[in-house]
Amino acid sequence: MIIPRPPLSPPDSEEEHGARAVRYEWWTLAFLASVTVVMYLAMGGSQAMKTAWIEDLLSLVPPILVLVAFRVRDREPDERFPFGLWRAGDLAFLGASVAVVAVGAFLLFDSTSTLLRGERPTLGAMTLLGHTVWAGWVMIAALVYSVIPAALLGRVKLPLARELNDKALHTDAAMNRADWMTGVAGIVGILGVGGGLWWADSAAAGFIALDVIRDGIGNLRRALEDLADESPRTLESHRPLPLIEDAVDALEALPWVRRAGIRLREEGHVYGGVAFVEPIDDADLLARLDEARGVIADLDWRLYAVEVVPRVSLAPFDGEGAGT
Amino acid sequence: MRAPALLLALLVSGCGLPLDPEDTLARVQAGGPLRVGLSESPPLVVSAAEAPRGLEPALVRELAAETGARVVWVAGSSEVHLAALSRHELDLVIGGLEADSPWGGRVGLTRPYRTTRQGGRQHRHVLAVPPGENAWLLYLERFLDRWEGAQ
Repeated sequence: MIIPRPPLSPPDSEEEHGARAVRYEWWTLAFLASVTVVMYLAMGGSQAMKTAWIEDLLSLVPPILVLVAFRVRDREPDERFPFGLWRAGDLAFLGASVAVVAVGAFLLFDSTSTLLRGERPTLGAMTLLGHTVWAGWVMIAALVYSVIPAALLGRVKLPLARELNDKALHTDAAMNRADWMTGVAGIVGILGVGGGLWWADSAAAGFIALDVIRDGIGNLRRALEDLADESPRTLESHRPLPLIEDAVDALEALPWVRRAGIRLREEGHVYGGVAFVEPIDDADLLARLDEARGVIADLDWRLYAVEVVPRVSLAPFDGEGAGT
Repeated sequence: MRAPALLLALLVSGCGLPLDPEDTLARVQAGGPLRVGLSESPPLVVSAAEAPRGLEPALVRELAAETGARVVWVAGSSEVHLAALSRHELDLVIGGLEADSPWGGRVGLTRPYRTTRQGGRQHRHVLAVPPGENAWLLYLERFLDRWEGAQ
């Protein structure tokens, strides 16, 4: 008989935040789609603009992944997926990080090769409403359009990602940050080119690329660590989660528990795993274990379907450092 | 909040943009030589080696009159001219160049100043300037716009 995990029951605030995240992501998608169209029309012969455009295309990846993950993960555990599909969040995080690294690598390659070849960006004229204007101004206008909403969306998503403990959303917010920074770099670069500094465009893009790559590799590493069942850590400072100690303390506070230990892993935005208790005796053990499960579940709703296993002694764990 | 202020300052001071890295426009306007590479391409450029005639040499003369530059004609193949242009050894190359020229990425091309149809194919005629000389290119484009408007 297959026994699936019970359905998760997040608090109302969580569902509200989730709905808001989904709404922001749809906004992001709609906005990015419009930016790719505007940039495509404005890019003309500029290689730098073409790069910014490809970056915009790639930045569609994280919001799409977040939206898919939000939809998939709400499927209740069943006989086919008895552990649930919470890991969809981890996979979205992985995909989003890869996209960020790809954007950074692409930017870096493009800007350094342009610099090394000594290629001078040639920006001529464009006709706007019957006026002949320098194409640089049109590109700057397009870039300003791409920068402002990206900066705003990134800013509202970041606190939401913390609230939801959602790393894919967090990475997506980082991607928005990369977006507006490349946009600003592009503006500075085009102004530099306009001022006769032909290398300004590529140099600005190169610096931004390094920052984007650093960000992306850090995220990619964490995504892989999550999938390797690393003990849960905080979203931003990446320290061991205080909740782990709290859970052990709560178990040890029970009068019948001599010692307790736990091992947790992150499954998307929830924590699953096993807790161990060393009871003082085996009187009333089944009721006591139920009580222990209740203690853990009451601690935080994210501690999801954590089983409590009794052991005669937790001493064997001591040597391995796995007791906590 | 310093970044927006900086941007604004750049925009305000940027009304004179773009500038040329190699100062081509300034040199041409100061009565310097306007080095024009031309190659035979009837009817746009005829008798390139002697006294150049045709639409494109006429354009160059009008441009020179407007800027006060002294035209130095250099006859030869357009391939050689475009290579020289990419090294900033010429200021302008004419001779039946078209918008889909493979040199597009290595030199600056104007937008088509005229489109003709020949043998069922569209020919979009352009002039070429050195890469990155954006003020010079913009000046030339505005000149061509005025010329087109006067046609």
